[in-house]
Amino acid sequence: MILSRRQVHFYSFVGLGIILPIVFIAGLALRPNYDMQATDAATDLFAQAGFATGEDGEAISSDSFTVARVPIAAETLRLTDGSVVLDLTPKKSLPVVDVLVYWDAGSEAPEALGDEAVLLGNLAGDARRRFEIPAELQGQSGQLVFYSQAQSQVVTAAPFAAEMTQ
Amino acid sequence: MSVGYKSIQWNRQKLIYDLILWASVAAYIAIFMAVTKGIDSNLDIRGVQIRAYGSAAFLLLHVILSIGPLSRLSPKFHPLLFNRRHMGVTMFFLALIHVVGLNLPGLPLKTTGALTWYHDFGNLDPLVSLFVGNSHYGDFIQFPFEILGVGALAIFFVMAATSHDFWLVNLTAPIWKALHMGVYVAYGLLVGHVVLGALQSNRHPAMTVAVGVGLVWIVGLHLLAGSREIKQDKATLSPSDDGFVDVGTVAEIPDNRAKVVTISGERVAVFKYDGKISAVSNVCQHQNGPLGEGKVIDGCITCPWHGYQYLPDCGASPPPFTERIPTFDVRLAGDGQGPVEDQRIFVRAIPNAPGTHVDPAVI
Repeated sequence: MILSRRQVHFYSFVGLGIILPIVFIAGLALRPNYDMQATDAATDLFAQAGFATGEDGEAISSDSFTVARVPIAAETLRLTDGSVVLDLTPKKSLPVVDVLVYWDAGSEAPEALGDEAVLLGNLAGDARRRFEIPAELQGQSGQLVFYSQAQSQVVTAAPFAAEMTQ
Repeated sequence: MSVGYKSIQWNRQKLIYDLILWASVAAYIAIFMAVTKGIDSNLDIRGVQIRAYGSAAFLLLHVILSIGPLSRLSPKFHPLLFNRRHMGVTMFFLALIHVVGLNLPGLPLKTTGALTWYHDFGNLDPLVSLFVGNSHYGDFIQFPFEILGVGALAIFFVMAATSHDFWLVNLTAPIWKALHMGVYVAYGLLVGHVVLGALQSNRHPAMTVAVGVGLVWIVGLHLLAGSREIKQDKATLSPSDDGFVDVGTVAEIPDNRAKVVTISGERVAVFKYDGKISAVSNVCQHQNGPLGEGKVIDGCITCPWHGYQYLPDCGASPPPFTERIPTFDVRLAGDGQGPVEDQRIFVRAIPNAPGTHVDPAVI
C-alpha cells in the first residue's frame, strides 16, 4: 500500500480499537432480561394472525392463482373439528399494499368489491396463510377477491369453485 | 500483468483455492447445524439455518481480515492473499443468504432468510418492516441492530461488485484500495450487529467469548501490523546535498532479493541480482503490493501478492504487458580496497517516471 493508505488503515484500527471494545462491554453489561421462552400461547397468536401453524388437516382440493404476477398456491383442508380452511402460499411477497382476501358471490370477476363480499383475512409476505371458510360459504362457488385496502381497488379476482370446499 | 481485459482468468491454483474455500464453508454449515440440532432438537431448522449462514459469514470475515496483517508479519501467509477476493465474494453471498434466504429454482438446497423469519408476521412488507419495525435509534441497547447489518451488507455488495480486476484497472489501485477499505467500517458495523443482536438473546458464554476473542484478534493483529508499518515509515531516509540517499551495503541484500527503505515518505525496493543493483518503487501497479518482499524470477521482479512482474532496470513489465512503475538512479561507492560486498549503495531520492530505463549499478 502507499503511505496514505497505510495511515488510513492504522488510524482506522486505532478508532475501532477504542469504539468496539466499548460497544462490546456496554452491550453485555446493559443487556436486559428478555423472556425468551416460547410457549403454546405464541402458537395461538400466530394462528390468530392468520398463519398456518396448526394441524395440516385432511386435504380437500388445491388450485393456484396469480395475483399481481405472483403465483399463489391454494389448498383447502378439513380440520379435525370439522372446519374448512383455505391455505394460501404466495411464491414471494405481493407487490401490492395491504391486501385483503374476500369471498364474493358470482361467476364473473368483479371490478369493485361487492356489498355482500365476505372478508376472509389479510395476506402479506410469502408465509403460508390460513383463512377459515365460513360454513355458509362451503360448497358454494364464487370469486376469491384480492383487494388492496391502501389503494382501494380490486387487484384481481380468481374463480373459487364449490369443489374447493366440499 | 494484463495484455487486455479478460473477464475471468482461472488457473489451477485459483480452482484449488476456491474448492478448499467452498468445501470449508459447506462443512462449517453442516457441522453447525448438526451440533445445534444435537444440543436442542426442538429448535426450528429455519432459525438454525439463518444462524449458520450468518455466523459463517462473520467467521469468514475474520479470516479475510486476518490475511492482510498476517502477510505483513510473515511472508508464509502470502499464498492466502492470492485469491482473497473470492473469499470476500463468498462471504457476501453467505451474508446475503443469511438475510434473504436461498430459494433458487432447480436448486435442492433451500433456506429461509432472517428477513422472512423476523419480519414476515404482519401486514407490512418484510423489507418495510425491517426499516420501521424498531425505531429506537436513540437508545443504545435497543438500537435497531438490523440496520447495522444492512449497512455492512451494502458495503460488502459494493466490494463484491467491484472486486474484479476490471474495476481495479479502471479505478486505479489507490482508489480501489480506498473503496475496499470500507471493509473496516463494515467490520465495525457487524460487531455492533452481533453484540446488539445475537448476543442479546444468546447468553451462552461460549458465544460471548468467541465474539470477544475475534474482536481482540482482529483489532490487535491490525494494530500490531499497522504500528510496524508506521514505525518503518517514520524511519525515513533523507537525501544528502547531491540528492542521493545512503541505503546500506551490498552485503545486506540477499541475491535476487531486495532491501526496502523509506525515502522521503515512500518506500523503495533495492534489488540485488546477477551482480547488479537496481532500485524501483516498492508499490506494485496491480494492487499496490510490496514488490520488495518479492524476488527476482526469470530476470523479473515478481510481486509476492499476485505474481505481477517488472524488469528491474526499467520498471516495465516484459512485453507484451504494459504495467510501469517508477525507477530510481543508483550508484555504488567504496574505498576500493575492501570486499565488494562492503560497497555502499546510494539511491537518488527523486524517482524517475514509470518505465524509465536506469543503468543498474554493477557490483
